[in-house]
Amino acid sequence: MNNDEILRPADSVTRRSFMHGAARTLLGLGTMPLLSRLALAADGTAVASAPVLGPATARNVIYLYMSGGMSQIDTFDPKPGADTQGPTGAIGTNVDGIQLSEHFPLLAKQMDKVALINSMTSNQGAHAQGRYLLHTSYELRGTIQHPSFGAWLNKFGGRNNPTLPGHVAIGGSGSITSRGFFESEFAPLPIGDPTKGLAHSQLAKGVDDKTIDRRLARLKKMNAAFRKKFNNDKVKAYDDIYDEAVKLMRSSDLAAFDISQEPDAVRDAYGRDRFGQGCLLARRLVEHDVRFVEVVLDGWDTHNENFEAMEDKCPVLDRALTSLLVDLDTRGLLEETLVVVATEFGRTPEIKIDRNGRDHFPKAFSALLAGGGVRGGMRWGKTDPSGNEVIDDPVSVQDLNATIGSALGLPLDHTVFSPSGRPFTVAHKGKPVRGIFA
Amino acid sequence: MTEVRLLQTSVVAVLVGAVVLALALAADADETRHDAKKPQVGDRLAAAEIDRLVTANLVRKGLEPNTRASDEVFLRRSYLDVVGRIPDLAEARAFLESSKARKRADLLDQLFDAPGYASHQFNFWSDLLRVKTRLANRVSGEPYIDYLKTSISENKPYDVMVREMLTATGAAHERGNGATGYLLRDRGMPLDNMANSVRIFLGTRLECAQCHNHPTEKWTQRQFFEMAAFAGGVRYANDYLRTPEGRELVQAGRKLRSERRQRVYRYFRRQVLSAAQAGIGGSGTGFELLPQDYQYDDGEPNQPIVAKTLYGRTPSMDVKVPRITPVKQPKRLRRILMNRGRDVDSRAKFAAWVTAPKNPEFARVIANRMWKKIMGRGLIEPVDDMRPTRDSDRKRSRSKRVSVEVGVAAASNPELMSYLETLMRDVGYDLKRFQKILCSTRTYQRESSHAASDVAYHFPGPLFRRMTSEQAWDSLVTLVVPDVDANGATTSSRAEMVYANYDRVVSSSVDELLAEVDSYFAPGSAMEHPDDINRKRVRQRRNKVQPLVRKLVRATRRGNTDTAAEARRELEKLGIEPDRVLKERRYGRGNLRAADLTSPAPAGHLVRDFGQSDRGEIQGSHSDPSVPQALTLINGFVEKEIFKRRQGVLMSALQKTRRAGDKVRIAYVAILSRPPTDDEANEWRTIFADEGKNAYKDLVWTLVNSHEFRFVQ
Repeated sequence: MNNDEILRPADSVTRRSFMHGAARTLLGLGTMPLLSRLALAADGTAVASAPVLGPATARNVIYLYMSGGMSQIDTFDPKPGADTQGPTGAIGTNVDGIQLSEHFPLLAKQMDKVALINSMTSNQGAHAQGRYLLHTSYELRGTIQHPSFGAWLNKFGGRNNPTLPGHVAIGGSGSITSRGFFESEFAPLPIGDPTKGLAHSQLAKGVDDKTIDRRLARLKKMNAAFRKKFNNDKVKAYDDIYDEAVKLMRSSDLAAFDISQEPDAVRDAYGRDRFGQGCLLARRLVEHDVRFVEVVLDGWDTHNENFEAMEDKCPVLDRALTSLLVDLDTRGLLEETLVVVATEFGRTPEIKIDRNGRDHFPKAFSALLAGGGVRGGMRWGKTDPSGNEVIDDPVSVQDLNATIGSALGLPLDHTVFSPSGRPFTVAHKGKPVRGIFA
Repeated sequence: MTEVRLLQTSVVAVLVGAVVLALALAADADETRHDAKKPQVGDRLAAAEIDRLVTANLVRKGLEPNTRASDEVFLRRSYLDVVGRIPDLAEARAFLESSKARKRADLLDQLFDAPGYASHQFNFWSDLLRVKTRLANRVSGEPYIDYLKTSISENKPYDVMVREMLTATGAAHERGNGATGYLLRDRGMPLDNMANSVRIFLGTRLECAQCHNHPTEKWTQRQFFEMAAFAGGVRYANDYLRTPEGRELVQAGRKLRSERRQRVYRYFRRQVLSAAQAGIGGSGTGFELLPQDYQYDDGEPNQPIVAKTLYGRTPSMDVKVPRITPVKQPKRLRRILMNRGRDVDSRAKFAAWVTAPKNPEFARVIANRMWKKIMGRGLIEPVDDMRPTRDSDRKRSRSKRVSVEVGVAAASNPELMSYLETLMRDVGYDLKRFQKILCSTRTYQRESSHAASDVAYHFPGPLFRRMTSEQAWDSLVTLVVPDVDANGATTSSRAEMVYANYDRVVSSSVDELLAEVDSYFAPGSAMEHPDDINRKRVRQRRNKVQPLVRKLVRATRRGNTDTAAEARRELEKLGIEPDRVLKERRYGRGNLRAADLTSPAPAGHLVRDFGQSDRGEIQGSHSDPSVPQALTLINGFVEKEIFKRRQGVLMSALQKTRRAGDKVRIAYVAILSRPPTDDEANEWRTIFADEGKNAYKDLVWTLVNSHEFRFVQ
C-alpha cells in the first residue's frame, strides 16, 4: 500500500472537517474578525492601535523544528561532485532541476508541493542564540523574553477553537517556545510525549465535575485573597492557566490529543518514533483548529560522525514530513495549512576529517515550506557549487518569519510594546519572500 | 557630580570595611569551615555589612526597605532556599511553637547541616552544568553525579571543585574519577566545552567568536582559538586502552568482530571495552589549529597557535608546536598535527588561571550566582554575560581599560558587588558559608517584593518568585514520604554498579572476561540475546524478592516479629535493604527527591512539567506556568499520590484526629507552613460540617493548588 492509500480519510468525521475547511476557504481567510480584546492587550498602555490583518493564504502552521542545526548538504541542498558532499548521494525528484539527498526518497515524489529555500543565512552560530532568533526574530538578550512566532500568530489572529490552546509545542524543551512578554493565554501548551497525549486531562477516579467545580470555586476565593497582596503578572498568569486547563479538560475536542484513535496503518506511515507520532498529532490538532503546532526533531548537532547520524535522522524526517504533506493534501487541509521545516543554522560544507563531522554553519543553509498558498515545485535562492556562499536571493531568519507571517496575513509593520514600553514587530522588519507564493 | 563623589567615598568605606572584615574572616576561616554551629563573629559582621550596602543603595534610589517577614514566611522561605523543600508538619510546628529568641539563627544552623542541603544544591549544579544520567553513547553519568553530590556534601571549596573538573583525566567509570564527566558532557566538542567553561565560570560569552569576529562583540575568533588551545590534544578516551592490558582487550574485540560474532561483539563492546575506554586523556598540548576557513589578517587557515589567556598574564608553558612542511592535503595535515602534540599540562595551567585569586571574574561570577540563588536576582544580569554589549538597554561603562571596572560597573549595586566578590574570596570559596551569611542578613529576612525582569530591582527584600521545578516536586513528596531527604543512597548505588563493572574489567584477565562473555552465549544457554541477560536477572530477582516482601509486610502488620526478622534476613542476603523496600511500597517508589531521579527526569514527569531543564542549555530551567502543571495538580498528584498513600505524612496526620478544627490546622501547617487565619478556620469548619468525611480532600486539594503553595513569598 502506498502512502496515498493509507492516508486517505475513511470516516465521515474527516469528510465533514474537509467540507468545513473548504467552506472556510470559500469565505475568505483574510476577513477573519479580529477579537476586539486584542486591541486593549498588554496592560492597556501598550498597543497604540489595533493590528489590521491583511489577506491570508494560510490559516494554520505546522512548524517542524530541526533542533541542533540540520546539515543542508545532506538534506535539501546536495552538491553532487563537490569535495564537500562527502558520502551522501543525491537523487532526482518529481520536479525537474530539483535534487534532494538520497535520504529523502519519499519526499522526492512530493516535491511538486514544496518550495525549497536554499539561501537561508544568519549571523547566529551558537545553539541558544540561533534557536532564539529562529523562534522570535530577535537576538537573545538578558533583559527581555521575546514572544515566539506561535504567540504572535495567536496574539494578532486570535484562536479559531475557543476550548483548545492556540499554540502547541510537541517534544523539545519548554524553553524553546515562549509567550515572551505577551499575556499567559498566548503561552504554548507543551506536550512531552505525543503518544501519551494530554496527560492528566481525565478526572481522577471518584471525582466528578461537581466536585471539581466546588473545589475551583474555593480555590478562586483563596487565590483572590493572595492576589490582593501579590498582584503581579506571574500570579495572574496562573489564574489564566487554570481557567485554560479546566476549559481544555472539558473540551469536546479533547480527543484531538488522542492519536490512538488513528488506524494503525496511518500511525505506521508517519513512523512509530516520537517525531512521526508528533507530526500525526499536529495534523489532528490543526484539524481541530489549533493554529500553530511546533514539532521538534532533535539530534542534528552532528559534530561527530555526521554521515552515520544522517542515516538515522533523515529517514525519520522523510517519512513523517511526506506522510504529513500527503495526509493534509488528501484531507483538503494542505491549502490552508502552511508546513515549515526550519533549523537554527546549517553545517559546514567542509567535513571535519578527524571526526567525520560537520560544525555549525549559519552562513548558508536551507528551509522548506509547503501548503498554505506556497507555490510547489520550486526552489528559492542558491548557494555556490561548494555550498559555502549564498549567491542568489539571500533569506534571513527574519525574512523567513516575515514570509510565514505574510502568508497568515499578519501585519508585519504593526508595533507592539513590551510592558516596559519597548517596541517590537512580528518578524523584526524581515521582508517576506513573495516569489514563493502562487 | 555629587553622585560621583558619593560613590568614591563609599568605595573608600568599602575598602576599609573589607580589610577589617577580611582579617576577621581569615582569623576564623580555618577552624569554622566545617563547624557551622559555632557563632561566627566575622560572618555576623559580613551580614551586617551587606545590609548596610543594600540600605545605602536603597536610600540613594529614594526607596525604603520592606518590613521584617513573619516567622511563617521566614520558615517556609529558608526551608525552600536551603534544603529545597517545604518543612514537614513536625518541622514547621517545632519552629513556629519555639519561643527562643535566636530561633531563626538556630534554624539556619540546622538547615545548612541537613542532608537536604546537598540535594538542593545538586539541582542547581545539574541545571548549570547540564548533568545527564547518560553523558554520551556508552558513557554513564552516574560517576559524575556521584562526584558532584559528594563534593557538595563535603562542602568542597568551589575553586577546588572547578580545578578538579577542568583537569580531570583517566577512566570515567572508575571510583573517585567522576570529575571527568565535566569534559565528557561535551564529548568530541572541545571548542564548545571551552565556550561553556568561560561562560559558566567567568561570566563571559565567547561562543559567537567560535565562528567569526563579530562587530559588536569584544572577542575575536583568534582569541577564541587561543583559549581553546589550552585544551589542545584532549582525547575523549582514557589511556587504559593504550596499556598492554588494554591493547589485549582491543585485540580481543577485533577478533570477535572479524569472526563476525556480532551479538557477542556488541555485548563485549558495551560491557567491557566501553567501560575500560570511557574517560579523558591528555593534559593539554597548549596549541590548537585555526579553522580551515579562517578569514582574518591575524592568522592563516590551519595555522597552529599557542594558548593565550583572554586577559591577565598567560602562564608560561613549554609548548612544542610541531613544524609543518607544506602538505597538499590540509585535512591530513590536521590529523598529523593533532597526534604529534606533546602534553605540557596546559589544561592545569588554564584551570589555575581561571581560579586564580587575581582573576576577578571568577569570584564575582560565583558570588553573583549565589546572590541570585538566595535573593532571586543577580546584581549583574544576565549572570553569565557580564561584560557590557552594545545593547542600548545596558549602561555602557566609560572606562573599558580594565575588565574589572567594566564588570562591577554593570552591577545594580557596584559597591555591594565588589564587597561580595571580596567576601567570596575571604571565605575561601566556601559556598555553604557564603549562602548562610546571605540568609542571615536582614535583607533576606524581610518581606519579598515583585519586579518584572526588565525593571531594576534594588532588594528592599528578596525577590518574590515561583518555586523552582525541583522545589515544587520535592515539596509535594514531602507531603507523602517521611524523612524524604534520606533517599540519597539510590543514586550512589547506581554509581556503585558502574564502578563495580569497571573494577571487574580492569582486574580480570582478557581470558576471564572472554570466558564470561562466552558463557552467556554458549549454545543452549538461556542468554539468547544480550538484553535477555538483564531481563532474566531482573525477573529471577523479582520472583524471589516479591514473596519475601509480602511476607515481611504481613508479619510486620500482625506483629509477628520472628517471621518478620526471618524475612528481613533473607532479603538482606539478596542485597536488599528491607526498610527501603517497605518504604517504597508504602510511599511510592518514584517519590524520591528530584536530585535522586534521573537527570533530566523523563518528559512528562511532574518536575519537567514545572520547568526542569532538559539539560540541553546551560541553566535551561524555567518557572513559567503551563497547562500541564495545572492538570497534574488538578487530576494527578493530589489524588493519585497524596490521597492514595494512606500512610503518607499528611494523610496519617489527618487520620489521627476526628475534630474538623484540628484537621484544618494540620493541613494548613503541613501544606502552607502556617496556621489558618480565624476566618479561614471558621469557613472550613462550616464546610466540614456540611460535607462530612470527604471535606478534607477538598481542603488539601485547594491548598496544594493555591498560589500560596507555588509562590515563595
